[in-house]
Amino acid sequence: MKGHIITSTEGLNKAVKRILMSFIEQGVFDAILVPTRAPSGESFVYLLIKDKKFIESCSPLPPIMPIQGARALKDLTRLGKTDLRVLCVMRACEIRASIELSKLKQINLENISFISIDCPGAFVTRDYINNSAELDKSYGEILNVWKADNLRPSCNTCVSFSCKDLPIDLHIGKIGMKENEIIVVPLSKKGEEFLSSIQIECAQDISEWQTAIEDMQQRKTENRNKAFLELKNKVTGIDNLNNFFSNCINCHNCMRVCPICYCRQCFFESTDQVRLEAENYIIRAENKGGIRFPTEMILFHLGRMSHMALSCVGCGACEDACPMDIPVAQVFKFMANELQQMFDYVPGEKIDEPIPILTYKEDELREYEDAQGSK
Amino acid sequence: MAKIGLYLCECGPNIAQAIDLDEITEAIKKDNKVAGIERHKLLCSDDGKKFLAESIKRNAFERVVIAACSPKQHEGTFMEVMLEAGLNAYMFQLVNIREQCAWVTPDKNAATLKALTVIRAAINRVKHHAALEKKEIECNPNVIVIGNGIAAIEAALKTAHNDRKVFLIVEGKRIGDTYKNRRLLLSSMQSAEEFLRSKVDELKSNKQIEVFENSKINEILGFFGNFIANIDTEKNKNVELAAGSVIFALEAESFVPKALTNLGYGKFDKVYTAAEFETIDVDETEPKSVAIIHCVGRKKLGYCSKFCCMNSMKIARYIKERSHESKVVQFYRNLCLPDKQYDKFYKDTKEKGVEFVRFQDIEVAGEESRLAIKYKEENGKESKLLVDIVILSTGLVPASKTEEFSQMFNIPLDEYGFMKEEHNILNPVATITEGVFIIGGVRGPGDIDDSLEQAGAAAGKILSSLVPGRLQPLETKISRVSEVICIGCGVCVNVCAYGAVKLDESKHISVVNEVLCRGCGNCASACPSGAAQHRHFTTKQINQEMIEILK
Repeated sequence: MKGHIITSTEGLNKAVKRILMSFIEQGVFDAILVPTRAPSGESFVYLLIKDKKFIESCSPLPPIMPIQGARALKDLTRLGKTDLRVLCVMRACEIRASIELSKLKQINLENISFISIDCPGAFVTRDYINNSAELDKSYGEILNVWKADNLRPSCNTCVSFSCKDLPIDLHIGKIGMKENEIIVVPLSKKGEEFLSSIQIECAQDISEWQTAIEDMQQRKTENRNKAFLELKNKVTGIDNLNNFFSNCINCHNCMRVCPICYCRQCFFESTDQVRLEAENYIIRAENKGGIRFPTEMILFHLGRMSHMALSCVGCGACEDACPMDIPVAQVFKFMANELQQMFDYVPGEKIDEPIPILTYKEDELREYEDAQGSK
Repeated sequence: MAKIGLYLCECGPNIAQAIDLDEITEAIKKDNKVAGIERHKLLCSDDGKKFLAESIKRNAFERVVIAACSPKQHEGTFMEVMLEAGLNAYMFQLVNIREQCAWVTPDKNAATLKALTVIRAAINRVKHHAALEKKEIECNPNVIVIGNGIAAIEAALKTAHNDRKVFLIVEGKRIGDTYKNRRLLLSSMQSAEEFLRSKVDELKSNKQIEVFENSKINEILGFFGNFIANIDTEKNKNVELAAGSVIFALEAESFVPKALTNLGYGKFDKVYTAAEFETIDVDETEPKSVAIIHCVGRKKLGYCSKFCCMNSMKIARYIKERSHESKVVQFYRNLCLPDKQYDKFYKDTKEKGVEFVRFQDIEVAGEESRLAIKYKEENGKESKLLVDIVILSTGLVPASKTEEFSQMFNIPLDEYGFMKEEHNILNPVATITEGVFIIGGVRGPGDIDDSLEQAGAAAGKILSSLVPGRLQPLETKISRVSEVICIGCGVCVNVCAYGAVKLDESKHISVVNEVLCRGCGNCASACPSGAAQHRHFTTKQINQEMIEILK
């Protein structure tokens, strides 16, 4: 694999914007879906850019992730493909989630291409809103040193921060590069064509960047394993889980921001299905001495987990949105990791590989029987 | 509140002795959730059913719980009584306090408590039952038969009738092609060609049968009573044929022993499979000595093909009849002679001078211009026999098209690649897709007799279920998908074994085909948002039942 190093003193975002501009000017893509600073200046939204004059104002790698890109792309293509050729600028976790949603028919990937950017992580959204100017500055530094103690915990344990195993066309590398350098890497034949259309010929060695990724991968994997080990005791068994989630106020924000939670209406919000007559609650209170309200707290989290854990990309959006500071993402990532390993499945890695819940195989049952020991 | 009636059946001594029904009556009365409790010695008897119907009417119950035996046994019986009593058949819940309580819980107190719990759960559940209406559709009595062998021909002949048409679709071949490659038939030793000609004449003279030779099936859509096949015929493209049922009668294919070089196949010209031997010019070779080796590929295939032992003897007799001087030796491990006339056929074959040798090991080698059979007999003795030709008796394997068709209809394949019957004893020619039948080599190896029998069986099933003008009752307890809640993720589509759930591309939601749905509930359990619901096992109904048991 070869890449093309761009040297520029303007920083990563500006360099990426130049590439985006070329893509539009050369007619390689008709539109760009890219994070852009909200008018308030304190947050970011996705902007579908048709007119190239808006490219100047976009922020390809914003310091926070208040909106998971997969949700934006879902809004665009849920009811069918787009006829425009759209280039989506996203973090790896957003792209992975998009691929999962395409398997669940919530995103149509026809005419969609992705460009990912090496991501050092994101700040907690609320931290940023209170202190955006300063954090903007420190994010620029983080992109060079690739280390910070105020990033979201789920970013610190993220092992897919670059483009490893992403089934996409284009990537921008930053990790391990000099302060004034980024590297453009085509990840597919199509990616090479896209780049040559804008006169970027990739002939430069990328091994330095690749080594830096490997090192970071190892460091993050260690972080992750350590975090999982610590977490395991805290969340094993129903009592521990209840404690873990005990601050939950049933606002369901975690579900609302989760890219994978695609249901039109969550089962736990369909009151006629889960609500019971008062008498039932009184009996439960009688049996246990008392019951917590709102009810269905742990059931909601476990239910949501059972539905989406196979596709969970560990983006941390749930935790970022929790008003009670419950480390939701960590327990979900932990569970997802176990489950995905069990099914030998990596979300967002292969576009054609169905999610295990979408396949119905008789021999799976046999496998289960064997595991239980045939009686 | 709807008026709920509870009926306790004593089932003679079965329930009455094992469960304290008085205690249950008292407890339920105390709960004050039912409008009346009645008890009877044997509710399924004529007297019991009469009592039940009259009692429901007299008490003006709106919903009914019956605590008796397994729904497998009498749910249908009591649903009929419900109709008689003027209620919807689904406003009722049968509680199994016999098989699941009385018969399995020896302690009377424990059995009583268990029965009480499940009765309470049923009372809680029946409150949420909805009236379900039976639907019927008009069926198309025509039949599509796919295949070109004797099973297909026979099925077409048997189902053709004055008021129904039969479309016999022969993919890529002429009808009866493989029979032209056979000299004699089992076990009558009748000429295969004559037999075929008589059958084909019969086919062609039957005005109700239309034969499409050299055709290609593009797709078959629909369901029992209403299938539409799209085919390319010799003359036209995209011909549409409408029928109510489909019979798959693809012939099995002869196993070709590619990897068995120790038997000389593919190495020596004069080593043939039995199927190949049928097609060679025997007059030209006029073999003086022939070895027929049985069960070739048996171990690899994993099953006995049933017809091959007899077929080997048929070939042996054919050779013997042409020239008494020829030496024919059958090398076998085991002989499969299951039918009543087969043993006689074997003895006759022996009498005609065909030799039988039971071997442990066997190998075919070339020796000058002849073939040497080196074998180890049953007693361990090693011998050698020089022959002119070797015939390998191979079994049958599924036709190459089998898998493609199985996917078209969601018919599972067995471990050998044949289509799977709905039940090998109870429903051997039917499949899990209603209205689709499998006969002959597509469902497993067998002989002509099997094919003829199965063709008759499938014809009988079709003639009795798809009568012209008859309305077909549909399954009532099926699934439905809420248009409001469904978001079209397709999880339900993937878990449906009946192909009954499809995505509506324009609405971006799932839709249940009410004719194909069998009410298994897979979609309802897979749906993350609860948009797919089983009409008689709604989340609410199950929830209410469970809550009562778990509280």
